[in-house]
Amino acid sequence: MSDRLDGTVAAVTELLAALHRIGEGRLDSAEREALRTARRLAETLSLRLGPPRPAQLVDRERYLRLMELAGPEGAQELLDRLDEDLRQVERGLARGLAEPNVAEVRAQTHVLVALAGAVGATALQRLAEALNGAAHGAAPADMDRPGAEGPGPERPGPERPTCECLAAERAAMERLGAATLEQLGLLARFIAAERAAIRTVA
Amino acid sequence: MSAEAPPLLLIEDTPSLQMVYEQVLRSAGHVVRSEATGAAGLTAFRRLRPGVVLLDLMLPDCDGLDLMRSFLGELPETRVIVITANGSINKAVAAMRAGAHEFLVKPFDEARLLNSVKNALEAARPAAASAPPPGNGAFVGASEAMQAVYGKIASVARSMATVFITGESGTGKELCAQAVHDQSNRARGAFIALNCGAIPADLLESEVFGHLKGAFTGAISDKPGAAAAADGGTLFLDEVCEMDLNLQTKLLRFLQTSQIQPVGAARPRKVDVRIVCATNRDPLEEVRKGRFREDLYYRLHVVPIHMPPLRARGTDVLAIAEQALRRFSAEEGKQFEGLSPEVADLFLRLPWPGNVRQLLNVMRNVVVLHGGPRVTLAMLPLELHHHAELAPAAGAAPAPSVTLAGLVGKPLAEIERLVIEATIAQHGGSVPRAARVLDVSPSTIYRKLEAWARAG
Repeated sequence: MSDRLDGTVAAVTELLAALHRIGEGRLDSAEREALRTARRLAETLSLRLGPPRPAQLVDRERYLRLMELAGPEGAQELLDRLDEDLRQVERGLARGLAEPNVAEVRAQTHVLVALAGAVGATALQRLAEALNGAAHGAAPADMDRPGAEGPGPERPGPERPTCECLAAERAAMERLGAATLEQLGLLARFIAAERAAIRTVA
Repeated sequence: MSAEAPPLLLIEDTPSLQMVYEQVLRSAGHVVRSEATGAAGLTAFRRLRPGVVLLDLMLPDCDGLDLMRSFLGELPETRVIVITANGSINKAVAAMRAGAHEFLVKPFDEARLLNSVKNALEAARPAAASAPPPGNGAFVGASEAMQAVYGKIASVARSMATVFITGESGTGKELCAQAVHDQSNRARGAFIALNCGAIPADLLESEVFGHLKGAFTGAISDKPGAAAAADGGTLFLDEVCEMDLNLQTKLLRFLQTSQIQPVGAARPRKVDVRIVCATNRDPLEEVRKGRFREDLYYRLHVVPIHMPPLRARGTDVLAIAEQALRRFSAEEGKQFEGLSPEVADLFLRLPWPGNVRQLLNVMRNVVVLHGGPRVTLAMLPLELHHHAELAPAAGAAPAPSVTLAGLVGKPLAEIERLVIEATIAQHGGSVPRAARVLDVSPSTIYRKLEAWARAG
């Protein structure tokens, strides 16, 4: 994959996340339909382009800075913790998507946004944000429930999505969920490999 | 930052993120203590009393917002940096309104985190050190009790948190409310003070929320209430415990929704008002007696500030008296220069039930009725001498040294002198207390003492 294509993958992921951040509450029906079409197209494009290559999984500079801050002694522990946290999110997210349990998806993506951002996995961070947005859209009735907070678009409008709309949001959540899990798996493997390498050196 | 400085407290439940934030902070020389749950965080907070707390709003065992309220309730000067993920912006805004110093949206970079902590530490520092009186010059005094008040005012002023001021009558609760407003970033807005105890219950709703023309008999024109007048500023509700229970319900709704509905209006409207309230009663006791709504109490009692009584402010009483003396002398065209040592001693011992207000009245009385240059005991109002009798004596009263048998056969003038001197001695040297017992004015005794001194 060329550098140009790498850039395209990143841009499409950004576009997808941005489209999911737009709330539907204040849109009229034509605008809502246009937004959903745009989301579907961006998702199709994202799936066709495939996941980013391992090399672009993390912003190398940011990741190295993190290791530098941890120092030789702390790096091992940090990677151990990252590995455990990512695996935990992976398990929870897979469970949430399979059931489906949107509250679980929201909670796990909430953590994943921060984890991916911390290590410089920007594309995964954007996907997690988009998935979180889709999870909010997929169960609007849950939004006001205590403990159901998490990253996602504001939906202040009085209009509630219809059953048809909910089904579309759930389908979007499934598609995004699959893409997120795929990239999350890649990041987890990357961290595991780094961990093993450090252990070997030690 | 030195190792002796109070540590930062970090409360973050994701272990790797906790470690990342710790490392960034430690790399910049900060001492940081981390906890992963709300319960452990609260325990650490109480033990460390940190100046700055970094708090993740989503914790496994409690709501981060509730935890922050606990922190600020116990130590209002604490700077809480709320950490939140992208979409919980509503919660972050709620946190800011409840008194958070700043919020960071995850993921954030190293520079952003360090900059936020630096700002929070700088903001926390003045409150921890000896706090100066608020800038408007209304407060006088540097006692420890007032330092704590100044520190709290400086800490809470810039937040939106509701301030609940308690204290005896005359301790300066309104001055405190005004200082909170003046130091806040809404100082350019209006400061509207409303005495809930001074307005009849049936008029209070209209005074607070306003009314429309024709809403009731006598409503001859639209009237914006105090809440609307304070839009963008501060609404000070004095004697809030005097508020009628029905109106308390409406006040609670107003605090929850930030909306007011003037009497006779069909729709509510939003206002942006910070509430500061005060009472000279014990608000919890009022709750227990059913005179004050418990939910309203907890809504208002976010940051309590207790104004100490004058008797607990040490030498502040002298500073206030001297300053008032200069001001009133200038206003009245008199030449007062200061207090005599006896007056200063008396002022330090008096209980001052009317607090600063009583002291100012005494000083005004002295300046108006006398010429100076020093305030002597004889110039003080009679009722102050009565208060002085109740003040604790410097030492135990000696047994009477004058007996009837010892007086019989002496000239009346000498008997008078012996009785007066014995009475003064019996009351630890206090002329006012002796005067009270002898049922004469203290000035009478002072005149006699001077005359006896002159006669040798």
